[in-house]
Amino acid sequence: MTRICTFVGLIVPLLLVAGCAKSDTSPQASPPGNANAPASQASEPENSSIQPDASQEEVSELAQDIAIGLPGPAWENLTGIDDQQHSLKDLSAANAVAVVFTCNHCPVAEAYEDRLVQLAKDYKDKGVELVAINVNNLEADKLPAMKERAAAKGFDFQYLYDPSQEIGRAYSATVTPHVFLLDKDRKVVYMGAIDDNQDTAAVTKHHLRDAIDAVLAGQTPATATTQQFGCSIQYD
Amino acid sequence: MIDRWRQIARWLLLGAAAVSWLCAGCTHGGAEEDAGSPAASHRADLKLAVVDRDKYDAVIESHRGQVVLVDFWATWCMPCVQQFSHTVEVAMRFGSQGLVVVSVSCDEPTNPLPVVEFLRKKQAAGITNFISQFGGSPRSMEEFDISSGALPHYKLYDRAGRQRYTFELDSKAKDQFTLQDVDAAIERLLAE
Repeated sequence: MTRICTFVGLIVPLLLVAGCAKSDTSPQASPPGNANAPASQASEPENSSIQPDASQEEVSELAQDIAIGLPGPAWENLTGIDDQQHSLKDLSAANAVAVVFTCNHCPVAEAYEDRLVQLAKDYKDKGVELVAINVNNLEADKLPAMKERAAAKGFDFQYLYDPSQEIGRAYSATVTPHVFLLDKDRKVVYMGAIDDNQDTAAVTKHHLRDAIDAVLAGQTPATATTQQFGCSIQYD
Repeated sequence: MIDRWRQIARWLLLGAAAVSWLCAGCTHGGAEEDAGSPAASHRADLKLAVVDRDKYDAVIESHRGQVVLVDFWATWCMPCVQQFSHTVEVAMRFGSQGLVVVSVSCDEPTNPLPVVEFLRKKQAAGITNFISQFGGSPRSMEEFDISSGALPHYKLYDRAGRQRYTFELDSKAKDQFTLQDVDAAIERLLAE
């Protein structure tokens, strides 16, 4: 314990600023709801996500549907914050497409918004398209809220809404943010986290940028999958 | 002799430094050590300790003969916050039948105050509360085998210490798990 606390104490000065920032995003303001009725979850008891020792099975199950080297599922006619319909096939000129499942309500997704804006800016001239997709149907996440957030943050990339949630399920997206990088042939070459820490100051590995750089250099990303991390996507 | 005193003085200095680090790092952590300090007396009922995988495994192991429910959560996770009352409630409801409840927060161990405040508000002193050493990072998910990377995530261990159920988001499932499903699994394992 002392060792851990000493360690903690040592890094406190470094992370103080980050810590303060984070306490702002902790949902003290969001009142705990009814314990027995999580709004986002279906109430029927029949449920395939309850699996004895589920973790291993789930990994293999997901691997069949979405995997490195397989084509990235194509979306069609999803409404964007510009009220236009967008499809993956519209981006045929792009050298790579980074698909990021994100949303408004999640503090982790929010923590990554500036990074996405910067990433889109940095790679715009290199033929990389960043496409953010929200599949959550919470009021705070729906199209009007998406437009507001995009305007406030200056999103200079597509931000699409799929209320059917089908594209999220097709990608087996579990959290916001959860990223999938498609190469020139629209095959999945990287999936997982944007980087290794929601706290910008603590990031040591820029997974998505590294993967994009590899694709642009005609190489295979050295790291193809990382552990995604964030708020559960609220599948209806 | 003088050298020896010097050595002792050095250790005392080191000790003082360590204590100040402790204060800086863990004042709000409610780490075991601070329960006795006057400043912490108002929250002496609640303990929050930093946990890594080894310590976590030892905790599970120490509850052989009991069923253990672990709730992985975070203050930034909306459904976690909504469902936490249930976690506290099952501890009371099934405690006498042999259920032990553990919570592992995936918030930053460097900033545990929001976690402590939340746990106190939820009157969670009756359960064993931890905060992941790896905080809100992918590393926490890896350490604790949360492959979806999504919270809340529950693990349920039987009386022999074997992990028997996991409850987490499944993007392929038609319906997501409910707290009734968690309760049913707890009752099943308690009855074994």
